Amino acid sequence: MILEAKNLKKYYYADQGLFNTSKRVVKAVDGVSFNLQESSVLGVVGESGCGKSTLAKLLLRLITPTEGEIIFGPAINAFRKDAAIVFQDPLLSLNPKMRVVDILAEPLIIHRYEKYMDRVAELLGLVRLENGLLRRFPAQLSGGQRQRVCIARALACSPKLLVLDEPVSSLDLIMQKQILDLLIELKNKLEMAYVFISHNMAVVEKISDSIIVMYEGKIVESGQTAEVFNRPNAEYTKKLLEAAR
Amino acid sequence: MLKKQLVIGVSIVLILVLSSIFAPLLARYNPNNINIDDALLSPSANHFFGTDQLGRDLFSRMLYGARVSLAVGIIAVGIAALVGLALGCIAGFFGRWVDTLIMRFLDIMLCFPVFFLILAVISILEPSVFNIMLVIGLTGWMSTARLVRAEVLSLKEREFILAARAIGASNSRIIIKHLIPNALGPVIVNAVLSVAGAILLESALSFLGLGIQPPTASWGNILAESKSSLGIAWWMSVFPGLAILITVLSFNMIGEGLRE
Ligand SMILES: Nc1ncnc2c1ncn2[C@@H]1O[C@H](COP(=O)(O)OP(=O)(O)OP(=O)(O)O)[C@@H](O)[C@H]1O
Ligand SMILES: [Mg+2]
Repeated sequence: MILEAKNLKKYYYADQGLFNTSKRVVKAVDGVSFNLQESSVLGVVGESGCGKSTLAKLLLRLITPTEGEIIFGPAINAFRKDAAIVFQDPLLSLNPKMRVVDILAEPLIIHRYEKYMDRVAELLGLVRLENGLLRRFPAQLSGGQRQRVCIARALACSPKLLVLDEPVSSLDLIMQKQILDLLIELKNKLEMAYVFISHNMAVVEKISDSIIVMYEGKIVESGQTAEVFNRPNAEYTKKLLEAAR
Repeated sequence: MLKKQLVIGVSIVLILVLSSIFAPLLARYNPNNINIDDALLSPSANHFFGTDQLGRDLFSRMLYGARVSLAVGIIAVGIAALVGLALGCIAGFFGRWVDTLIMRFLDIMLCFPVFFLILAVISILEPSVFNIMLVIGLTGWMSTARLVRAEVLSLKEREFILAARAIGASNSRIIIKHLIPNALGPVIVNAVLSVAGAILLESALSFLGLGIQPPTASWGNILAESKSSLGIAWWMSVFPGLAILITVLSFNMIGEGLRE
């Protein structure tokens, strides 16, 4: 086991207004538990606002859970090297003032890699970006190229666990397929485990070994991918499957 | 239109900076050379800008004075920008009590009229060029700090900062590599616009006799020395006055141009 989430919760408290002192609670993630085996893919599906991105940030320890815990297996020891994330919107997750080469070198510099430029060249090869793009700024790249840069940055320190938060949802259909194929190829080549988040059932079916379906912060269905797709139990899952057809 | 402004501003400032650097080549007289026989000569081919009460060549004094005035303006603003950048970043990034502390300190600084603060400090310290730069700089960082803090507050919520955290970037790395480069634009514009103010401040101090001390020439103290001969030697006040005006205008033109 590489990752175990136990009853994870993240509540946000929003002020109601100037005179109303009661607080409105947003239960972004509300009691999520699952296991993830080494080199396998867990798909997380659910509609917009159901707490997928919040779950991703919790898993990467970017926000602290309100309750519950996350246990990492022995494969994860240097956390910031062994666990990485690709965010939903590649343009927003790249520093607009940094060139591609500096973006890719940054994790390597932080974790004191020697000869990091060799590794940068390797990373470009992995995600099939041309050398010529190294001097560009994020704004000078296409959406697909930006997402490849984000993926390359995440792969820099050879992580064992990669959390992908809707990695293809900002791309057009052709790009979606290319990036998805790339991710499947990388996973097999580099032996990583994925938490693959998406609102699109068809995308998740293609890549996941098992699936959890989320609704309003809670898991409404989980199981092996084929099982969930062939014999959905929850009404909500059926609705999602309908919508995907 | 605005680009034109920028080009004109930069050209004038460049000419001023170059002529102050090459003052020893361009000046035909020693700026501090007293020659009572030549006192108060009006502008001529020998003395382009005339001479002062002590017979010193005004053109030469203006060239050397440009060094002091420009250096004070630029370096004082540099100090203000650095202090403002550092404090604004720290306040915005760390928030909580650090923010409160820095912002209350800033409010206190703003309570005092800057000019009187400078006057008070200068009357305690000796008015050397270095002290004047320092005092103008240390009393001028507040607007930059506010600007940077606001910028950092919105930047630190952006996703690329989260992405930097995810790869293990430390706070100092996030501030230096991610926040500052993205907050720098408005700081530079603000700095260029305040160079004019700093030059005026130095001139005003010198005019009151609390700035650069004679015999060292600055535009401000040349202007100050013209007080006694205002009626008889128009050149002593007009040339330094014009120089200050043109410099202030061109720095403002650069600032406005950069704002684009
Ligand atoms: N920092 C925050 N403060 C307050 N509420 C938040 C915060 N972050 C998220 N939320 C709320 O938590 C809920 C879940 O948000 P989250 O971003 O995890 O959804 P999502 O499933 O990723 O949606 P999408 O598919 O649109 O990306 C939403 O109702 C959102 O408004
Ligand atoms: Mg999301």
